[in-house]
Amino acid sequence: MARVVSIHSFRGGTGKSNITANLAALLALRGERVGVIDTDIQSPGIHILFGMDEEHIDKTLNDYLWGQCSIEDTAYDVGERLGRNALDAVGGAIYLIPSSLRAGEITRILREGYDVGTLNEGFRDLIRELNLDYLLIDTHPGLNEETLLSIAISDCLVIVLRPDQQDFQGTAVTVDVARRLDVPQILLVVNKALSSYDLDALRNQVESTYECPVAAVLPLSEEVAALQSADLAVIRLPDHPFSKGVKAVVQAIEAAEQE
Amino acid sequence: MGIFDRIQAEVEERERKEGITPSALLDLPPEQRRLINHITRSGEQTAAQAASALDVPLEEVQETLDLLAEKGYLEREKRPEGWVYRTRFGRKRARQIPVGIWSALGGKKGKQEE
Repeated sequence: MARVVSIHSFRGGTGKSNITANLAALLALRGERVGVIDTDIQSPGIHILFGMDEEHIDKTLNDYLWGQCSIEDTAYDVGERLGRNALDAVGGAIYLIPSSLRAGEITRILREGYDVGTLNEGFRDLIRELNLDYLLIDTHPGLNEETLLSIAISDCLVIVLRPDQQDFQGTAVTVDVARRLDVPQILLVVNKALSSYDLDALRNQVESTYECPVAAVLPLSEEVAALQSADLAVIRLPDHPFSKGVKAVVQAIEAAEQE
Repeated sequence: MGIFDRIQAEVEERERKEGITPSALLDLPPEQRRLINHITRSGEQTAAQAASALDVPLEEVQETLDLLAEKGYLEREKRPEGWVYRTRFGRKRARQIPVGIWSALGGKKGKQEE
C-alpha cells in the first residue's frame, strides 16, 4: 500500500523543497516508485532541483485542477537526474508533478480558487495510475486549504524547521494541527543548524519541546548552498553530512512502515 | 423564524451543498473529526471497516456517519458490500482581495510582455 508523505514548514526558506527532492531521490534509488507533487501553487520551485524549466513543462497541476487533463498527464519522469542505469538496476522510478510557472496561471488559481476534492482525487489517481510506493507532497509554507488537505491525507508528516525562534513557534502550531488531524507519524527535521551548535543538545531540546522524534539535524552547508538548487545533494555529495541526514529521514519513514 | 435562525439555516444549507473544507475539519467535535480523518486518509470506508479500525461500536460509527452525511461532509455509494463513505471536500474559495488587484496585475503583466 502506498504511503503519502507531506513535507511541510510553517515558514518559507527552511529548505523544504530541497529536502523533499533529496528524500524522493533516495527512496527511488532504494527501488521505490516515487511521485513528487508540487502543491506550492503560489510559489512553485521544486522542478528546478530536477533540472526542469518552463520549456520542459507542458501540462501542470493547474491544468488538472481546471479539468483540462488527467493527473497522470502532468507527471514527468525525472529519473535521468538520478542516473537511469542506477534506477533501472534497483527497479525504482521517480515522477514529478509540477505546478505552473506562468504568472497568469498562478493568479488564476488565486482568483478563482479550485475544487479541493479534485486535488484529493488527483492524489489517489496518481498513486493508482503510476503504481506508486510513495507520494511525496511538497507543500506551501504555513497553513492554507491545500496544506491542510495534504496533512489530512498523510501517513507521515515531515516538518522542517530552522533553529530560529519564529520557526519554533510556527512549528508548535503545525504539530498541533497534525495531531488534531490524527497523522499517524510526525517527524521533525531541523535544517540549517550552525556548525557552532551542539547538535545533540539541539535535537534533545526540539524533541522534548514538541514531544516528536527528530529524524535529523541537518547542517547549514556552503557546499549544499553552492549547488544553488540546480542539483541533488544526495547524488552530487553523497558522503556529506546533509546527505547522511536525509538518509536518516528516509530510514525513519521506512521504520514506521515496517512497524 | 428569527433572523439568527435564518442565518444559521442558510449557513448549514450552504455547507451541505459545498462539502467540508480541510480547515473546517479542525473545528469538528473530536469523535466526528476522528472518523472523517480516518475516512479521508483511507480514501473510502464502510461503517464496519471504520468501526473495526477505530475500535468504536458499529452503532456509534453508523450514527456519526449518518450525521456527517446529512451535513454534506460525506458522500455515500451503495456497493455489494454495503454503503461506502468518502469525504466530500468543498471548493477552495477565491482570495478575497480588493477589486482591481487582478486587473492591475493583468495590466502589469501585459506591459511586461509587450
